[in-house]
Amino acid sequence: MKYKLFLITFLAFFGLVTESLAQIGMMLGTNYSNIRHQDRLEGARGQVGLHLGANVEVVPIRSIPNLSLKTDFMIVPKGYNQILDDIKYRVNLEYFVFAPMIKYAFDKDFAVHSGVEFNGFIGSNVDGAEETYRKNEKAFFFGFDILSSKRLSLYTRASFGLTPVLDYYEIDPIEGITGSFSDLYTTTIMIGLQINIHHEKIRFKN
Amino acid sequence: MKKLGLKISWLIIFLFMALVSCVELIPDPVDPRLPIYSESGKKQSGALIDNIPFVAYPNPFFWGNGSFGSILNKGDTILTFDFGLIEKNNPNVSKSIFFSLEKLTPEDWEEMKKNFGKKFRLDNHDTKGRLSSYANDQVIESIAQSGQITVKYIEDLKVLAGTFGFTAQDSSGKKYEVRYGRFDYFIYRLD
Repeated sequence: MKYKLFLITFLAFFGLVTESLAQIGMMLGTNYSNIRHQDRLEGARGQVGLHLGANVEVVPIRSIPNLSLKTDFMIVPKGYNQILDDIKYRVNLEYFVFAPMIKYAFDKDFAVHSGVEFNGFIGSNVDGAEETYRKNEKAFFFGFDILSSKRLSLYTRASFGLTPVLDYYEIDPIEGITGSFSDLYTTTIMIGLQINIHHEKIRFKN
Repeated sequence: MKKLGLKISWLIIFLFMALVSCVELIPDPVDPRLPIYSESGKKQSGALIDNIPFVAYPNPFFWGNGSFGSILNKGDTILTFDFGLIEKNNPNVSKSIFFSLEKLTPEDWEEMKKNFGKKFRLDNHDTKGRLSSYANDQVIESIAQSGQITVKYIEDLKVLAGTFGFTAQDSSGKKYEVRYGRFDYFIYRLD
C-alpha cells in the first residue's frame, strides 16, 4: 500500500511538470556499507561493494533554476562482514533503491542533495535471507555533486537506515527465547561517477 | 550424439547444483555459526558446545552419519530428541545431544502450542538430557545437570521447534556447557 502511494506521488510529480528541462544520468560507483545495532553483532565490520543506476532530474520552478528534483533508481549492495573464530561471514543485502531527493546547486559545478531512499530487498548471498531480513527499508541520505555541469560528474552520498532490516528473537544462551527485537540499521557511504545526458528536452503530457 | 552428451552433462550439473543448494544451513542472523531459529521444519539444529559451534545440516547425505536430527513421539506421552551434530569448522568431530521428555500430558501439549513453547527443566526426573562425545571409538556420555529445553509445537505443520541450553558433566568430572541450542524438525509418531 505504501509503495503504491510512492508510485502515485512519483507519477503525479512528473505529470504536473508539463514541460521541463530534464536531465538523465547513468551512475556507477563504489560504496562502503556497515550496520548500526544495539550491541548484538559480535565482530561486525563494514564491507565494500559496487552500485549502479540511473536518474532523472527536473527543474520544476523556472524562476528557481538552482533548485531541482531528482530521482535515482539504483541497485545497491548493503550489509556487513562478521568475523567470528577468525572466519569471515559476509552478509550482502541487495536493494533496488528508489530515491527521490531535492538538489540545490550553489554554482554550476557544486550542488548538495538530500532525500529518502525507499529500498526493496532483491537478493542476498545468505541462504534463506529472503525469509530472514525485511523486504523493505527506508533510509535518509544527503550528499554532494561536483562538476555537475560537465558530461562526467562526481557524486558522494551518506545514507542512514531509518527502519531496521531484521526482526528476530532475543535468545538467552541457556534459557532460550526471552522475547523479540527489531534492529540492524544500514549505513552506506557512496562515491561514484555520473554520466550526464545534458538538457534532454522531455515533454510530459497529461 | 555430441548434443545428447552435452544435454546429459548440463542435467548432471543442474541436479548437482539443486542438491547442493538444499544442504546449506540457513544461518542465524546474529551468530552465523549457528542455524537460524525457525518454526517451519527446516530440519536443522545446532548449539555452541564449550563455545565451539556444532550443527546438524538439513541433508545428512552430504555430511556423513555424524549429522542428523530426529524427534519421536511415543503415544503423546514421551518425546525423544536426538541431534547428531558435527563441528562447523571441523566436520571430523561429532557430538550428539539427546533429550527425553516423559509423562507428557494433554496440558503440556497445549502449552507447547502457545507463545514460544513450553519450558522443561532438566533437573526434573521426567526430563533428561545427555551430551555424547566420540573419541578413539569411545563414547563419553555427559549427563545434563541443569538447564532447560523449550519445545514449541506447530500443529498445522507437525513440527517441533525450540531451544535448549544446559551444563553437563561426564564420569571423570569434566564439565561441558551447551549454549544457544536450537532445533526445527518434523515430528514422527511411533505408535
